[in-house]
Amino acid sequence: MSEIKMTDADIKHLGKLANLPLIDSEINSLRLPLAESLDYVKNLSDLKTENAKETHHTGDLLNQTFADGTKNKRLLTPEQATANAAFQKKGYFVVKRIMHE
Amino acid sequence: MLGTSTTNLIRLLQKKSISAKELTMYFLKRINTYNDKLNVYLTLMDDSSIPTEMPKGLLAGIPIAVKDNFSTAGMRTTASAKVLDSYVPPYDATVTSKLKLAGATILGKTNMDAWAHGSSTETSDYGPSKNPWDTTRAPGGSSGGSAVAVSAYLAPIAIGSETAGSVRQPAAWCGTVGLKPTYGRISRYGVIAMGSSLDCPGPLSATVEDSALMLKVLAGHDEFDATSAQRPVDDYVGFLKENKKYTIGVTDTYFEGVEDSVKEKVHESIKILEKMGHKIKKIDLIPPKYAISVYMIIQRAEVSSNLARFDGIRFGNDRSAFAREAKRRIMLGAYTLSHGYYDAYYKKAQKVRTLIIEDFKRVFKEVDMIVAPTTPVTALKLGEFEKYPFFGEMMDVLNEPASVAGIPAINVPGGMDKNGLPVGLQFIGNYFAEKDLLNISHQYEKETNYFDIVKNGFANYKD
Repeated sequence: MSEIKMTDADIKHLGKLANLPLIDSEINSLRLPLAESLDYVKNLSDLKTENAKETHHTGDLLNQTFADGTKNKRLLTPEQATANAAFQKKGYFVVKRIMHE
Repeated sequence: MLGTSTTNLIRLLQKKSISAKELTMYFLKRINTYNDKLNVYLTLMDDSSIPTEMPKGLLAGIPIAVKDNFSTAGMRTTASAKVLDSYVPPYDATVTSKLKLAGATILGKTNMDAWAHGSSTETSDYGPSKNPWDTTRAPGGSSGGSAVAVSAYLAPIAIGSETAGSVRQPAAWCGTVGLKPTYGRISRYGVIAMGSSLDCPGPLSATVEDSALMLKVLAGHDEFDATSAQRPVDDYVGFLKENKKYTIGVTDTYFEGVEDSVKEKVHESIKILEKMGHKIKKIDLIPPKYAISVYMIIQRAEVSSNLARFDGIRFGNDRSAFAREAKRRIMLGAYTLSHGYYDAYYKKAQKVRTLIIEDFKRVFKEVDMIVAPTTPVTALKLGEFEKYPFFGEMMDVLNEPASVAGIPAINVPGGMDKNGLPVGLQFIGNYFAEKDLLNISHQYEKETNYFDIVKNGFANYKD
């Protein structure tokens, strides 16, 4: 049995945060796996981390910057960039209106 | 020709015993015969791409299978997800362009777990691939299609990618060599991102020599991937000639919860290594179960960020096309990154990640590498994954520590279990110690010939 409880409202809220449309049957099928995963990871509290720094990257890289002009080499033309879009017009992506009068 | 290694195929091509066109046609014919049964390739090359002349380069004329999460200009790339069902990338991943520059021919794109989320290919939106040793079983994953391609000789060599276990685990279940290099050794540019601080492209092959050759072609700094390593690329193939004697660590924690028949084979291999003159040393390591938790938190967090870009506006279908496993992972990531939970989950996981890294660094002062089973069990029946809340993590438990630390590891076939299924043996090395992992694996291959596993696997799929 899972100790962490996830309510329907929690799952709907996560769906909203993640921008995922969820149907009712999915809300039910997601409840247990999410709670079980969160229960499992509690084992990390066995380990003392007061003095540990966080690892963001395993390679110890510092201040990586692009050389001038590097980015230009991988530019796509408007035609290439919009070739896979469901809706496009004259090399632009067509999106739903987000502001209304 | 059946089962000829990539290295030997290159010799045949150079001697003109076979042409690049004939070789490509040979594999296309085999794919035509076996693809329906094994469900390996999602997309195949156009006939117009079949080479008519001998190209130039280290892999000139060699046909290669590429996992479907590497962008291939002009060739459909889905990551086995319906969200990208009709996506045709306008550019090549760096791995893809390096293969092309080396004169290779891309045969097609191989099936995988959707978005690389899983360890059996069963989360693929295009149906699972089948294990060539027993088609009622899963091949492992997420690079399952690439492992099957190599194991059934539907390509002489294949490209996979690993976030935690996705090269080594299917290689173990299908009985092939699978190399996960150090994080940053091979560019991630153009790979459909999963866990950006973890993702590593890597080859699956029939021999260690082929794996060394492929690493030589693919490794190196990439101006398009800021996290790719600056350091020079070693002569991996040349170094195979050295007969190095190593000190190899063994830890009990990597045998806990491992099936008896797997344990038995790995212990036999350890004895073989000892007999070959290597020194075996007992070591302590943080138990892998903690790496599962670190991985589960960090990977889900990175997934939720990376998969946010699939909005159906610029390419692909909208977010309603995501299947259940992707939704689970995205939502868990959204949870652990949320205000109020970030410190308890994400930050804590990043700190434990540091402990795991320090633990490996300490051990690599005592030993050159670690030997362990690759997977706790051999290939499971299709459908078994449904019984686990986080199947991928349980199958990859012995792979996750190295992935979390960003160090290299390699799977080699280490015997057969009582059901006639391959057992995987892995060597885990220090940062950028790929040449040593390849060296020990090559020595082991020469000593055992992998108990004829690779050879017998090919024999099951006659021309």
